[in-house]
Amino acid sequence: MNRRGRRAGVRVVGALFMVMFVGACSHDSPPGPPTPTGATVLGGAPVESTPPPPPGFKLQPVIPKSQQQAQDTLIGYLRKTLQALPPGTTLDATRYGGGASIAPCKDIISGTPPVEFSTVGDLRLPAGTELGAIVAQVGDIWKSWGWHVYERVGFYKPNRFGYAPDGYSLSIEATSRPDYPPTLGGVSPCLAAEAPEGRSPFPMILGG
Amino acid sequence: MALSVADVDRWNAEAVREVCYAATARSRAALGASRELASLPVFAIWRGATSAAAAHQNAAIRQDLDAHGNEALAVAQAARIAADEIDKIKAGLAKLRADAAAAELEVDAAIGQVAAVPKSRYIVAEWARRQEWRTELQTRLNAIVAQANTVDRELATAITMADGGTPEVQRALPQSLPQDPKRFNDLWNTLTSVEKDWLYSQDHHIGNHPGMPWDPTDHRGKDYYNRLHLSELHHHGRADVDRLQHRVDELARQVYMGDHSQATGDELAALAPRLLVARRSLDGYQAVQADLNRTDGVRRYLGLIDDKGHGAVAIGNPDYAKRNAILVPGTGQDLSSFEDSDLKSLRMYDAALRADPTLRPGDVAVTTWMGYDRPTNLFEAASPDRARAGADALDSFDNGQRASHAGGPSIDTVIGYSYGSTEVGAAATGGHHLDADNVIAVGSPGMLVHHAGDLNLAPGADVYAMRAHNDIIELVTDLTLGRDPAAPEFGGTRLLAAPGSSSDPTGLIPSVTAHSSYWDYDNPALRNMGAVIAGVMPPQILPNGGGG
Repeated sequence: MNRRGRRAGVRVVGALFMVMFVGACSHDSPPGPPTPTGATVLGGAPVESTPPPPPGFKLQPVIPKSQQQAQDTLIGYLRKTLQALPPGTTLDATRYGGGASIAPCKDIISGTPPVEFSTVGDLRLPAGTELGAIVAQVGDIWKSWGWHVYERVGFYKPNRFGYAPDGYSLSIEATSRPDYPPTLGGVSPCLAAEAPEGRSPFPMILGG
Repeated sequence: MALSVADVDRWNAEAVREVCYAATARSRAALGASRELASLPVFAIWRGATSAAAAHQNAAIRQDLDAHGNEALAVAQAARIAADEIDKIKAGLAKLRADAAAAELEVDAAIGQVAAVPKSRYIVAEWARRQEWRTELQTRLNAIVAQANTVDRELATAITMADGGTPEVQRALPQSLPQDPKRFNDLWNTLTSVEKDWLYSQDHHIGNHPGMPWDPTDHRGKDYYNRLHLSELHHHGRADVDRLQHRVDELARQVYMGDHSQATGDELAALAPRLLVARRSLDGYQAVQADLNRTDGVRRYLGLIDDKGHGAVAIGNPDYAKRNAILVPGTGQDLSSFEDSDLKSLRMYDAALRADPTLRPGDVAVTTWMGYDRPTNLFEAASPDRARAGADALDSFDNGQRASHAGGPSIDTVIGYSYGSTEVGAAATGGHHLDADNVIAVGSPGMLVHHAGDLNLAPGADVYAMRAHNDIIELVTDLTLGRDPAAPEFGGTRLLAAPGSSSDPTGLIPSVTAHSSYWDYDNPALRNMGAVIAGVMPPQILPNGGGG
């Protein structure tokens, strides 16, 4: 019996399970970094094979104690990335409202769900920079830090997702317009909703 | 009769402000008396025929007080606006007089003309230059007088309406407002702000009318009136909770002190569920207000609010957006969880901008629409009844958004999540037409049709579907709500979503986690939704022959 056939076999059991445990469209995923679970053709086998992490890579999420800490850590990684790129490179978040957002990282049936801190911006590159090479270059920068880096299926290509041992991740992704620079963003591990909220304004233009 | 410059000179902004203060005080007194009547605890305990008659009489008095209070409020608002405008007009006139004096010109207040100061002789060049200045200053003076007449007209209209006169808007509306969103929009755009305020004073739900602009140049649109209404609903909701809680506490105290009579027990049993409902309503208003107050850099607009658990908030102004999206949430989502759904909308807003770097922030708007009665549990969610009952509401809301849109039509995408996709299906079947260019069914149990082509959408519209491999919704597809929209046979365009996690290590049992994973930061589903909203090619379309 193939996977789909087994699925059909558990539909009745699953439906009971669903009625018993689901009161709403709820969501409960473990805290920690976004897990690169791969992507799947609906009903078919996974089409994304995740390459093995680099030697010595060990995921040990560092849960931020405050939103400010999550922001500072993410900004630190972004600045470090920009510093390794051609001088004058900046990250411009002005198209994206406040530049950063806090959102639940899992839905729960009652109480306040934990949250994740994320940001996205447009990479602004010095004139003459070769757009086609910049994504791979950024991926190599992250690899040099010992991060788990690879190109993912399901996103505009070229792209690179970099997963840090502390649970933070960054991504650099092409857009639908090959003549425009890629976007660069990142997300923190889940942190408690009760963690202190106050944080300084997110820099709309980030330099190296 | 048109005003002259001399009339403007005689205007006194402070005197008009006094009218504002007096009308505000009268409005507060009337509305306060109405609220006090509403919160009298006697109506919670008094029963029988006399109680019914008294309650009826009380309601009638409250209605009169509310109407009087709202009329006074309309006059107060009009007077405040007029006083501010008078200050601006008089300041403009003073500046113009100073400029005229510097150019050896003067304003004749009686005839409203700028003229040269009589002088024995001018050289030709000087005379020509002075004529140029005179023409320029006359244009400015004409604009000031025109503005003064507009202010005068609007204030007069407000006072006439409050006096029970028959202003234009009342004459134009002998029966009711046009239901057709386009006709409503055409009418609305001809009204003055005072006339709009008057209409609100007659019907506090008017901000929900399909076709009303979200936030027009005079700021008298959906957002303005629905925010006013939300504030009132919140106030009344708080009063309801306090009144019911007070009575429940009293009854509980009586029981504790030994009153075990049936009457006390019955009343307590009847009040408890009412208190729960009142609390849920209050939580909903507070959640919507908190959402409107968000400071994440993108303005929110309140497009729908009522006392039946319905609401809609847009990120960005849909009237000016080139790309519009509407998110329709599903089972168990009520107003108290509005922010969670709004954050999904925010992620799609960012994802659309991320997909197309040529889009500017004002080019995109994403509206979270909770305008139908969502199922509250899985038994209700197994039936198409709630979706069908809400079909007209979604159909009308989308038509209204089309009608109030400024400039060329936007690319409209409606995203139905879970049972929300069933609601989207209902709005595009059974004689309904959903005027959307794109529809995305996310984690859908069914759209009440067997094939994407059965949906009645805008000409050439595209139907998309995505489902995480481990989404628990798979267990209820192809049952009571139509064919699985994510199946190749459905005929939609299938978009990639991350598989999500399974409930068991062998990967056999799907999970609720996967059902809620579509808006995760690094889920390709989010990028695909953003691209469809942006109107560009999604990064990963699945072949229809590949599994499913």
